[in-house]
Amino acid sequence: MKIKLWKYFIDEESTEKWLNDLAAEGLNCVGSGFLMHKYYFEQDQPGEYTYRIVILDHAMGHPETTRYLNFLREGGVEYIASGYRHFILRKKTADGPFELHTDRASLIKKNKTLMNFAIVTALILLPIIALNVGVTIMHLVNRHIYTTLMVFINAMGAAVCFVLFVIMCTQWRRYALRKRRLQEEGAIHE
Amino acid sequence: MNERGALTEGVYMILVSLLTPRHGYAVMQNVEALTNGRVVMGAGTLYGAINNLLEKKWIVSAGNNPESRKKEYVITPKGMETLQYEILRLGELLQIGMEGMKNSANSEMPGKKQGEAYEN
Repeated sequence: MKIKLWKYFIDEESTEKWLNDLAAEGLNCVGSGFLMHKYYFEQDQPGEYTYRIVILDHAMGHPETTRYLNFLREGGVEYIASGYRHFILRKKTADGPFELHTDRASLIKKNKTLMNFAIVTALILLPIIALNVGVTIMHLVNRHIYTTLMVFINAMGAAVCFVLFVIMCTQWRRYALRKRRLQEEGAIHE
Repeated sequence: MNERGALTEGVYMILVSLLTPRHGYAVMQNVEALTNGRVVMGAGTLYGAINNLLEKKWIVSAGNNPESRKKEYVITPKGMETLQYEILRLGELLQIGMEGMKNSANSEMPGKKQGEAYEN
């Protein structure tokens, strides 16, 4: 029986942890939809698979992505689902550890991609916040036309987007620090 | 980019592994076996490295293995030349290190913890 769950995560690391925690209990992710906010699970042996989420340079269908996934399949890595450039992959736990990036250069690149995603999301939120704040002010000024409820809805919209904006900026900073540390270590170790 | 620069551990191990034709996953297993599990290459890292080496023409695709139908790779003369140079370079480094240790007063302390030798 397929189980469907909706979930929103701000980063792929939390999603990955969530998928692995569920897999450890025997709920294996077998698909995803709605830009990776809807997940399908099947009940099976606990701990059979290890899941990883990767961000690739191109979306599904691009020849480079197909080549990469074919390469991974030779090593026992199974493609599960994708949403834009995010991919859910899994490997049988019995086949050994499942790490995709083990060298400094790819770890730096991975953190850079995560930084870009965080900053792009934050930048998309900015005009939405501005719009919400603007409409709220407009409603406040024209109190004789608009109700308190309208003001409240718009103000709440602005507040929620602002909180998301702050979270995205924090995420960006976290990845930026991680990237810098990797680069600094690179001056000493390979 | 300097063609004579030090190779990363990953690239070095891939070149050594591809002295015999192997497919990607076999390279990963070989590297792990040769280093007793110390160097474990992630599939993504290996993919990137193999593509870079193909581009540099240090390795070439050797076709598909008839049994497993997996794509195999093998080192080229250019790759071989690089590897030989790197082995000489590493040998030189090893020798310099050994000589340095031999001439150092603190060298006969294999049991000492890291850093202790500098406190004397």
